[in-house]
Amino acid sequence: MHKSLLLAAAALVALAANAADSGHEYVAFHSTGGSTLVVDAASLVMTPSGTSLTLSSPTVDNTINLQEYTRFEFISGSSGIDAAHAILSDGPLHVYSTAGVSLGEFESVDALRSALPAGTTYVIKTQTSAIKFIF
Amino acid sequence: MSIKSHALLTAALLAGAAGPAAARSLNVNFGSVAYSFPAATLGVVDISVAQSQLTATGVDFDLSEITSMNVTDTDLDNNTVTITYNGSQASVTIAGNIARYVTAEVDGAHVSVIQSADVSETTCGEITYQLQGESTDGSFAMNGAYKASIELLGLALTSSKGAALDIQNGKRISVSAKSGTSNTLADCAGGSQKGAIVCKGHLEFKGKGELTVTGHTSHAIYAKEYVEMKNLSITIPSSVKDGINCAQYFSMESGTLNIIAPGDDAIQTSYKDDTDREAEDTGSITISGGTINATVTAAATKGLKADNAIIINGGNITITSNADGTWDSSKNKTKASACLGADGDIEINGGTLILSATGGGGKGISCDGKFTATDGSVTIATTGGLLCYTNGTLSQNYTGNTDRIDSDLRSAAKGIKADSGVEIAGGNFHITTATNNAEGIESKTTMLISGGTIFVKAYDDGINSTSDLTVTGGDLTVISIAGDGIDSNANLTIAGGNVITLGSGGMEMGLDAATESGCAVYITGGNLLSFGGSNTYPTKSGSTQAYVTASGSISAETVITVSRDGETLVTFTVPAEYTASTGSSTGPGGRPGFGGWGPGGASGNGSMMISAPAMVKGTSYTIANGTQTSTSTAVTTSTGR
Repeated sequence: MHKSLLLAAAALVALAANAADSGHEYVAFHSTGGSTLVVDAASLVMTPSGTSLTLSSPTVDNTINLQEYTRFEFISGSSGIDAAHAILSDGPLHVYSTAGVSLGEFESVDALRSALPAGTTYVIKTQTSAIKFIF
Repeated sequence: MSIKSHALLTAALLAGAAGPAAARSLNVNFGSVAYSFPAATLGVVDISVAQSQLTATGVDFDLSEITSMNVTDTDLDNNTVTITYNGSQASVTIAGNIARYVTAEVDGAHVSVIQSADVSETTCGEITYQLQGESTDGSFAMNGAYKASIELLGLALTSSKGAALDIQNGKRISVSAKSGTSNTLADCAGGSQKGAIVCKGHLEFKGKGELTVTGHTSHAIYAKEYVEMKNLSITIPSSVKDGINCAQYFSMESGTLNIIAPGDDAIQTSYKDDTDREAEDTGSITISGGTINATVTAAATKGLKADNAIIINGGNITITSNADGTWDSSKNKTKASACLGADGDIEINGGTLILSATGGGGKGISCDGKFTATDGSVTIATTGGLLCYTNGTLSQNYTGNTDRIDSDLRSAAKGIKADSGVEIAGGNFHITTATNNAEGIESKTTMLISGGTIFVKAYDDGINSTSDLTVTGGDLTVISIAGDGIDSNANLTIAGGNVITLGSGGMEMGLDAATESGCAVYITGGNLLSFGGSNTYPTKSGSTQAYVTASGSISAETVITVSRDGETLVTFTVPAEYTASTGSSTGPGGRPGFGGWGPGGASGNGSMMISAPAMVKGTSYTIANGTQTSTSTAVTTSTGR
């Protein structure tokens, strides 16, 4: 019993330490029109050139217009959808593929997270904004 | 606990110990210069294409100059700037919280950083610059108006343009070599810089790592203000001028300093010689601990040279001067080397000093001020000859007659020479000299010895003073090979202590006072054995302690006792280092020789004077000198020599 408690305590300490330092896994770019683009922050490189900002990483290859996307910030979450908590409110969430095909409507972020597989790019539209996740 | 449980626990603990993943940061890059903002505190970054501006944590950057931004998992502490050298390149990363206060430029591996005038305790506080990597063509320059720290984390930096570290910030600059790291710095040859490390302010060296500094143009380390040292191990293999040159003062608390081949002095301090200088502008060198090993070889250089005082309170100091003397044509005087040389006073209050001077006129300790000692261990050996400039020729080992040579034209090797007096209250001294005119301890004014253990074996006078010389305590053993044991050019008073003074033969004495000037020897206390070709006997009523006399020769390790009715009053043992004179046709400084009638000479006896507190005037005592005995009636004064 004593051994088990020790092991559990040690493991909890380790987990707590790691958990405390997780965060800021994503970068969210906000447009002047209310849209948001969320990308994986790991090894992300952003290269400005004129009015463009090229985003590149092992999982990201995209260019955004800096006249449109004028703000960005780090956001946290164990997944991209999870990270959406930071910038989405529950409510009708319309999800589309990047090709514009509707993938469904969800009442909450949690519902969306449980329904959609990870590793795919989505566009989520709310009543006031459109959020694109690139993972 | 089972092995398996152990393994599980270890793994769990290791997972924790492996610790936190480094915090995520955003680097805003301008070529080789990056500003690093922790994601946790970054907040929203605003971009304005119209204004070509990116704003992070309230700091505006020119968007058009940003080469890239990247997300890293590295963790840079607040108030930190890292500089990494890699061959012909260098990179700089500046912590985001000080982005508004620090700008940097990189040209190849030459890094220049400016702290804004807004840096203060109330804004961001002190900034730390961490340097690492290697470059044979790089440097670090920093300017600013607030104190800063430089940490060396394993740096090998040689500049081809000037100083390796050029700190134009006039405040306190801390330079530390981190424990376990070796760091080397060198400047270029033929430049205009004053050192491989140049600091406009004051330098504080610390850390438990190693730092090697080579000065190819001038000094190795130069500071316009003071230099302090603690813990650090600094080696200066060579420098064109001084190893360390600073104004105000040099202070060492601990650490190790090896100065191997400076082109000038090992350490030199100077001060502003006027009335409005700052309080810390003392021009002094203070050693409280640590180890100094220094060797100087350039003409007339010093190991430690201070415009003002040198104060030794502790530490282990070994200085070897292999420097010859020189002729200073601008001052029309000879100039000799010294292990310690001060324009002011020199104080020894502790520590261990081993000083050796081999050049013409080379001295162990030389000061224009007063020499004082209260504690410590001092060993001095000089072997250099008499430096003399005659008829346009400089001789390092002049052996001719010096009676008609102006004192500015000659300089003798001496153990200790002080122009403004000598006071020894404690400490252990072992001093030897070996050549013409080389005295053991010389005061150009008065001398007071009240304590300590002093051994002197000098070629010329063992101890000499220009004005009154007084012994009130201490254990003195003084041997002169070709001069007086203790010689005062004024009055000479033995008021206490245990004194053995052995002069050479002929006119040279055990005790010598300036009777020709009306001065005298006074014995008012202490145990005294004085032996020489003759002695200056007390002649004045102020000499109150009785003494006895004998003639004969003495030899090393002979026991000499004074007794009465079988009761021993006092005992002396002739030092093992004593060698009786064998006679010479030429005395010290070319004076007439004492051959043939000095102590141990071919045909004569020396003069012995013994005094002890219990000796009673008018009482007859037996003096045993080895196997020889004689009797003498004690007196307090006599008619002279």
